[in-house]
Amino acid sequence: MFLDTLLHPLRWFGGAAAVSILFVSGGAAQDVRPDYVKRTEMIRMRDGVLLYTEIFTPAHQAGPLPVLMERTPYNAALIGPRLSNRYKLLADDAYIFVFQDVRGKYQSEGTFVMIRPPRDPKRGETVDEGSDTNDTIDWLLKNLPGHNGRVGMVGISYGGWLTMMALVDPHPALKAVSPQASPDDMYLGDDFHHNGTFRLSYGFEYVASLEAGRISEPWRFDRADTFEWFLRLGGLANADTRYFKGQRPTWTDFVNHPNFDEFWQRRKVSPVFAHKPVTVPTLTVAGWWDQEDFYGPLTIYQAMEPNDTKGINHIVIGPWNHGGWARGDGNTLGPIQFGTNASAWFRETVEGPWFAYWLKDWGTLDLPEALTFRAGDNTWQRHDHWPPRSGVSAKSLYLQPDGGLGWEVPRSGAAFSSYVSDPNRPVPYRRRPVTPLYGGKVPSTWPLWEVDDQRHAHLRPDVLSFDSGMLADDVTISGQVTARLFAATTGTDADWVVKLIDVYPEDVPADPMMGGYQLMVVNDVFRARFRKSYEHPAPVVANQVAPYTVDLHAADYTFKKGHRIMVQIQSSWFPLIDRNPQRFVSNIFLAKDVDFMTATQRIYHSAPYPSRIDVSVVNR
Amino acid sequence: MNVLRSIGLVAGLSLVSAMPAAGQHLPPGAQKAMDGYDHSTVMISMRDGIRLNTVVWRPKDQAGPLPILFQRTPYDADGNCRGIFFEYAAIVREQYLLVCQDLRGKYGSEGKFSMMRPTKAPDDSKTVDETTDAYDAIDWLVKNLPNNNGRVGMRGISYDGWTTMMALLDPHPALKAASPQASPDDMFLGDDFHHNGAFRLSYGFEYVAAVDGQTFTPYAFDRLDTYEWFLRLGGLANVDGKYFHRNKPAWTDFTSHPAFDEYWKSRKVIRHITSVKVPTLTVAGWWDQEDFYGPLTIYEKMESLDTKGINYLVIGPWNHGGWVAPEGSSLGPIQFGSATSAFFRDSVEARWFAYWLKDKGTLDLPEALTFRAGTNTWQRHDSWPPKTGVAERKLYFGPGSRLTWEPPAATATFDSYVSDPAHPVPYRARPIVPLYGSKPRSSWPLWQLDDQRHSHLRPDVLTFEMNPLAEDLTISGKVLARLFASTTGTDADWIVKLIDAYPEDYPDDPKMGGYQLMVVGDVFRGRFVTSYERPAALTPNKVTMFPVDLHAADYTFKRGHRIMVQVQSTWFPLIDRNPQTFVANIFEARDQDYRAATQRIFRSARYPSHLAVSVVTR
Repeated sequence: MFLDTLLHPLRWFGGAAAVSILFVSGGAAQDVRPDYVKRTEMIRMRDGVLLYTEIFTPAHQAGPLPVLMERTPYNAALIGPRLSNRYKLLADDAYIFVFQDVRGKYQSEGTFVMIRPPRDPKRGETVDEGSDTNDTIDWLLKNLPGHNGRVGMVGISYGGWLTMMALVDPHPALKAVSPQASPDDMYLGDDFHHNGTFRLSYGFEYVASLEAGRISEPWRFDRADTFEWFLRLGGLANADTRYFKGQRPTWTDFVNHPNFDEFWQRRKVSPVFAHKPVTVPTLTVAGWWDQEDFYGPLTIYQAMEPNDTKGINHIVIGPWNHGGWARGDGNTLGPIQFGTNASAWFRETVEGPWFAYWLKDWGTLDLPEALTFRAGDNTWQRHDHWPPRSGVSAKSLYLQPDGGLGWEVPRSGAAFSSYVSDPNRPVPYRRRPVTPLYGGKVPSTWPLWEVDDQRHAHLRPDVLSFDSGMLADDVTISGQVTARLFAATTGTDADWVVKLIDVYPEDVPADPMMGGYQLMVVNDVFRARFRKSYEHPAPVVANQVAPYTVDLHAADYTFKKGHRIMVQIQSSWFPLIDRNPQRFVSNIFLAKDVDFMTATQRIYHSAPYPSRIDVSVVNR
Repeated sequence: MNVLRSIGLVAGLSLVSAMPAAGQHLPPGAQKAMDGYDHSTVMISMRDGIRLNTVVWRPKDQAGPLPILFQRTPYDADGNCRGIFFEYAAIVREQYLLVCQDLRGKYGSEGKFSMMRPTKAPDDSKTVDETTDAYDAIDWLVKNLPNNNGRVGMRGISYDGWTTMMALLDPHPALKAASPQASPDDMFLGDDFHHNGAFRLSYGFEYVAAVDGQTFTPYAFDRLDTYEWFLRLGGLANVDGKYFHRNKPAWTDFTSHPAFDEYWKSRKVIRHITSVKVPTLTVAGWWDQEDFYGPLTIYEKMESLDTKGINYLVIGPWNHGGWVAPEGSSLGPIQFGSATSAFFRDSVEARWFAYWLKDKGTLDLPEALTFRAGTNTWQRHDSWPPKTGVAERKLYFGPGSRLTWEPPAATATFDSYVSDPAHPVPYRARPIVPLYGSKPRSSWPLWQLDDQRHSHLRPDVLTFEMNPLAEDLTISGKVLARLFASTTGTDADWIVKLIDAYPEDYPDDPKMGGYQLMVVGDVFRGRFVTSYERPAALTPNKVTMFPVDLHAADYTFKRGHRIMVQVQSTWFPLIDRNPQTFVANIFEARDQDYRAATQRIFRSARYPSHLAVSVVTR
């Protein structure tokens, strides 16, 4: 959910070679383009709080122009220079750009609330991000000369979520909104938890920095390797005892709400839109390797789509990490090549024309219902539906005895494979040292972790691997991906991590280091205590086989001929995910060191218990 | 044992076999130096009539008689001599008759190659060996090369260091100075092919595959990651079954001699050293990934026979042959603060040969000269290992993963882990590309400098560490681990690594924060605990003391650093997998022999596992 203000402006120009993140504590790092004029306003909200707002108007405005607004918790004063890069094409088309600090951050008054839920009058809540947006639009329409009466909103990540909040009760002047990588649900699938597991390193670092005060400050680790730092931390209660001391409200919320209770439910975005007609054209954007908010855009799009009677709800999913479409040309992501400038193409051919169409009546709209980039083939695909309903078949990749992976239910061989999961020796989610996500002394590569070579985990004693063997033909999957495991544990709680991997051919002449590379296509984790209910966790019955569903979300990906399909399964993924004590406790945030115990896990691959990955295979 | 001659150690390494052949482009300086020499080749007859291909380079402006500097190599004599122009500007400037010779059966020489050809018995006048070949060659050279001064020096690195040692066993009277550099001593106990009886799988396989033939041809793996390739190989019998088909004699020898029998003993260098007649300069590198045991062992044996005081030792901060690097001011990410390789070549080696072969200058060389990484200073020693100014101390494994100077008081305490040969600990971070690969380029010569965090905190690795040091702590001399351990199996490997853990905050070089640098490390194969000749099954669950020789170090753990020890039972594919079930010959182990075992490392008063180190006291 973290983005641009915490990223060094140079990141824009760094391309694939380096992704550097650092905190910029204020001041414009670059000049604003000279063909725009800046003014600043403190805009009064309905409760009297003043929000800091920067307005950029073309120096030589020819006629009325639409307003394009981005609201942010990451310092609005840093956005102006992006008229030269992230917003270059839009600025070339000419808009009145409005950038605003949300309440409580940087130069705005008021109190910041992380993912402030829509206001509930019964709780005495009178304002929310939607009301702040509408109050701002009201003010702009009344006070800003030269506007054409139409407002568009755009934002990535937290900024994307803020655009979703603007859609809850949209201002009549709001005519086009592009929520990009907006989180939907902080408990089930986005930044802070995935399926009830806590995203420890991200949750800790994000909250530590964003709630450091009005100005965000990165957490200063006293170890270079956060894998070891978080392991030495021990039980999560130590985070408050030793470090936060109650001064990070969102951390306190994490600790107090270990289950999917009302706290999390009222922050979930998509239910708000489940029965609300889509009245504002909406362009949802997601990245296949978004390391922070991938669940969000998919879920939001799908919640809105049944109510889209006007056909104005669209989704674009590209080969990007979090916000990757807004930076560079997008020809590569880490070591992965896409053969085309996916990001530049999106900005030029999709985003720019879309806003111009709705806000300026320019051109026609040549956008399918869903536009996805199919890595492997490296082509853009136009879909009538997402996930696709035609041209695909539901198939299952079954785990096989002896480490195989195939389309048939296993009929013979060992019934299960097993491994020992030791929470005191968790599997690192990436190769050590795992440097800080933000503000470390060496440039962070966190935004690229999902494209790491998974050989670092392959063949460990605590990781299972299943491999299809070399493919004789291309296999393309397009649509939902779901793992259905049959598993048993000697413990009373367990995590199940599933990674679907494309194994490159051993010999890649064009790029020898990519030989045998294990690229994650999709991945996720499920916490066993929630197998019946996210609201009411329950212990697992030790040594009893149980079915588990691990939502791997969606993919549009071609495993090329000569590649192999691989599935890796493990029970820790540290410190991406907090350690499951493997002994059921009522609140893992309060688990004591003695609660963490080793367990033996069994993953079944037999006819009665055929663990598998359900995929949607494109017909040939 | 293969010399990875470096054009630029930091940038990458290239094989000696990849040296430019005649006509290929050379760096300007080297090309100019070569232009100052004429070269010719000659076939020199040995006593049995076999003719060896010999390359001679002579300065065009030779003014008077010159000594001969002679190298004997299995790696292509032509490339070898050209390498001198690359790497030894000081020697080229000094002017010698540079002579390089192919061993029997390699490149341009006749006859049959034998890997580490064993030394013949002294009373055997019919057999030839590398000693007789060296003798015959020197004899021919001093008699037939025009304008030589009657003195010959020999030098060489790795295999060529070993051929230098072979020449020293019965030296020709004209041999007046020899510098065996990274010569192996013992292929079973400590050098290229085995360490303490454990087989060096990836090296043994790749080296033999490449060298055991007329030329050097790297093995073409069908997987990029040799970790997985060797694991999928299964039992080692599959090497011949699937690939070598008994066409690699050295491999056949490995499989036929799984214990320290006469085959290995006859090849052990120091068994044949009976006197020191020729001034000898032994050279070793602290991070030599191939022959570290050899030079230390050879020096020590020769020193015991050195009645004339002509036996010397230099140990620098180098990997295998790293002293030919242009500068040697760093190795991988580790900085040494000065150009150690250039210093050695110009100020030690070139002067040393000039002194003995040309009577030039004086010899200002201590008995032993060692580079002390950490403080990054050269140390002059009266003896090696040092006898004064040091005290033996023990680093004990303690509770809570601590390493402590205090012997344990507790009874019956241990740490344990499960070692599964089906999922061995990689010796470096995967992918582990082929040792001799060029696509992608191998970083094998730097592996001992790898950040050991790749194995730290794995479930199958134990770690013991000290708090950050309040003061610098220097060790200088031998290092020996004594593990009190038990296993549920009947055989086991014990790997011990002594590590310098850098401070977490390292402003000089932020990416080095928390880096875990291996200072010394080695493996011991449990079956040999009572005898290398007659391996025996271990008794399950019985505590046994396993000595793991970590050789020697001269190293300063700086203030703020932490001393760390890691213990594990696999190190793959550097070392072959121990089945953990005793079998007569591991080269013939079947898949079902490989079993997981639970290892216990004890740290009690009765069983105080520790590392014995020699701590500098002044």
